Amino acid sequence: MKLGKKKSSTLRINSVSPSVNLALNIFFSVYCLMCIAPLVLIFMVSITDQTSLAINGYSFFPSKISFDAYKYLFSDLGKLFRSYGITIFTCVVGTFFCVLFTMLYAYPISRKSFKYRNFFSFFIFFTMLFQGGLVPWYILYTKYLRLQNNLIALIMPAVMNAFYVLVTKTFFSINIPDSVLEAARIDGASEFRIFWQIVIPMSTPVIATIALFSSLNYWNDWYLCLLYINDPKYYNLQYSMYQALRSLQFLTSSLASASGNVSSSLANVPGETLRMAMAILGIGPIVFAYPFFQRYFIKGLTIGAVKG
Amino acid sequence: MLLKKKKLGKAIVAAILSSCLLLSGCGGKSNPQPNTGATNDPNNAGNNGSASNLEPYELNAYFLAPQCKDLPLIQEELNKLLKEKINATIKLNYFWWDSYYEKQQLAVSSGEKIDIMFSPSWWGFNDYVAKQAWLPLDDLLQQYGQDIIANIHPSYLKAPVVNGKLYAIPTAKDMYGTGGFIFNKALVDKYKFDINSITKPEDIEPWLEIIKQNEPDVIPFLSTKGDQQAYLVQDWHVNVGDVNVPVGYRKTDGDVKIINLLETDISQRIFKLSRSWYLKGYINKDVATLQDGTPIKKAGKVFAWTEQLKPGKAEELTAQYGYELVQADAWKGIEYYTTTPDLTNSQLVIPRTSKDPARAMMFINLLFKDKEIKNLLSWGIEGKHYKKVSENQIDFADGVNADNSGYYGIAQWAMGGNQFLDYLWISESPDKWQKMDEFNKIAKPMKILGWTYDSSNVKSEIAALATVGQNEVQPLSQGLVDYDTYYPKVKQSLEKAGIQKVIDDCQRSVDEFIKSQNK
Repeated sequence: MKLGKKKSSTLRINSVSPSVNLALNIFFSVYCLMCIAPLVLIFMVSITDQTSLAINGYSFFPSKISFDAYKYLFSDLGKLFRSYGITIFTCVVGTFFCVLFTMLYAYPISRKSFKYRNFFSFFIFFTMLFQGGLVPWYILYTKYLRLQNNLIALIMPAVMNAFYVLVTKTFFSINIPDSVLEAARIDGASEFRIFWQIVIPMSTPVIATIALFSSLNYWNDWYLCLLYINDPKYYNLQYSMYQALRSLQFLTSSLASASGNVSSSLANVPGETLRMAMAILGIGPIVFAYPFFQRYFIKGLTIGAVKG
Repeated sequence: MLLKKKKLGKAIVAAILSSCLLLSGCGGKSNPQPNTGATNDPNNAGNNGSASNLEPYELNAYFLAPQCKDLPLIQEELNKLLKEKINATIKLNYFWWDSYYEKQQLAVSSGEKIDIMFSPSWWGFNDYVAKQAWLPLDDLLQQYGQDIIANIHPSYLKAPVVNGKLYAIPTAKDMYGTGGFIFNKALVDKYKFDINSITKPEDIEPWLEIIKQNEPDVIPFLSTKGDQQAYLVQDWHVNVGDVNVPVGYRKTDGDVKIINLLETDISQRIFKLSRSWYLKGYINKDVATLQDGTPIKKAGKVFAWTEQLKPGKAEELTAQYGYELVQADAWKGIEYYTTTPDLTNSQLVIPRTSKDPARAMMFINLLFKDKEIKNLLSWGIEGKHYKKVSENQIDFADGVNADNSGYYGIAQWAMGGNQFLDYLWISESPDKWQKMDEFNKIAKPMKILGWTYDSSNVKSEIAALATVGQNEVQPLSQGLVDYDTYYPKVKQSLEKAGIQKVIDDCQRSVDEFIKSQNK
């Protein structure tokens, strides 16, 4: 009893005053609601009846509920699963290689003992400033590498990212003290052993960061699909969604009305509810990436400290 | 330090130089490819249809079409027919609204071998011609396109002409657009409105009032962001470019004078009409924000809206929306004119990268005479995707509907060739093509048919005007503001954006064109 009282009184010393506490709580509750509300609205619209949506507009409390949009999406299960599969595959494989190559590049250029580190740092930095441009890039992939309609084309371009390399390099040079590596070397560890058994376990925070960036990047990507994939078999989830949206935007724009005759194509475009249902499906498994990677952020921070 | 800087400088210079090389390399690639065309084919076999004299060849074709599930089947079937007729096979690349523009750009700039491509005037046709990406077609047309010449209205072949050379083969279809109304037939019948009595847009006003009084759930007049403005004035004048840029000319037999279209009496009249309809509550209240009217139209809670009309339009929409609709022209007793954009909004080109342009022309020629090939591309395979119900009318094949058909939703007007060869749907009136033909016959070509405006001199002014058009003119079209009090402000913005400069530049271009025609 006594202890409990004491504990709560010390807590009170460190805590903010009740009125401020209340204000903060209200502020953040409202803030959270503002973040979540659009998602909820999207979900509600996706289960609204198409006709009542047209008449009443968006609403959190639809007058008539219908799962037609989901039924329509699930009616072609094969296609849905395939696009999901493509997205998940490129996301997992791409993230793996992205993290691997980023580490392998960043580690050497972070070590002072590596003679050409300045050259290689500049080499990767240079790609952030100058790029070949879209058309040469496209020609390289389609004419020389012949990767059109190939999943590699969805993975390869985003495997190496100069920004990630520089972030990782900075992490290494700040958080991995030379003394640790020196100790390992004295104990007779080879360069590879140092990298795999000392450096990698010490850098889970940066790995988690890069992996999160990269997996989001792969998950949300539709542009590579637009460029390199012509075969609907290989369309990923985001691109299918992009397609539906773009078609509608185009058909309702003034450009299309100038060409006349267009409304006959409108019949094929999914309605509002369907698009919302697609957005809900698009959120899919990727929302679980955050809590998953978060674990490593915390773990990494605690073990990263150098003692003494 | 100094040395280091120098090194860095050198590296940058080297990088810039090499990227220049890369860029110029790719630019050069699309250019030189010599026109190997007609030489491949000494016997001129295409016309006689003796395919055996021709070398086998694969045509690579880009169409604006949705990527249907059964595309491989169509391609296979088409290959059988083409093999027999011109000893060719075809690779069909279908891209839909979402990606066609990008895919076309990439394919052309990367120098891919392409033989046939859909390239309408509203998607950069003139830019491609200026870059010499398309082949001039005059000789090919004479040699291999006799059926095109026989089956297309001669005006068409005057339209996609740049510097005296023909660069595209337009699709034979409706030759002009006329603005008008679409009505919900159930309501028209219920209140016994006579839609043939309309001679001007104002005539439907009493009907809107009746609907408003008696049908509280129904929107009397649906306007999507003020779209009625464009549809109701289009019989009177033409925009020279983007619909948002209010520069254009009146449709007339006489000389063309470039003017500010917002000030014509007809524009003012429609702006004021929209305003009064809005105030009286005939127009939907969300007119300013409504992006897409389709769901509301589909729901059937609408009495009227405006649309670009051609014969059979209401039937097409009926099939789409699932309830009966009727159409009526907004104006009666006016003259109809064909203009360049009307004739070039759907056309096929032969890119310079084609290895055998002659064969490409033979294929386009087939689209103008061969009913089997044309309908295969438009509707799919008989018995699988559609069935014939009479000589010229079709319906879905048994067990097939719009949702599960493997080849449906093709924009037939974008597939090139002679649209009059297409079968008609059972829901359409069987004499649609005759009506379309009559419709086409009453249109007169304007004096400046074939003129297109190259706005590169006034690019920044055009962009500024488009912004003004989009942001400041919209409230007028939507009826949200009064013309007399609001327009002077718009006029100021337009003048600031340089409208006079655009008008002058445009007029000069018209005059030059007329001069070159008279030579």
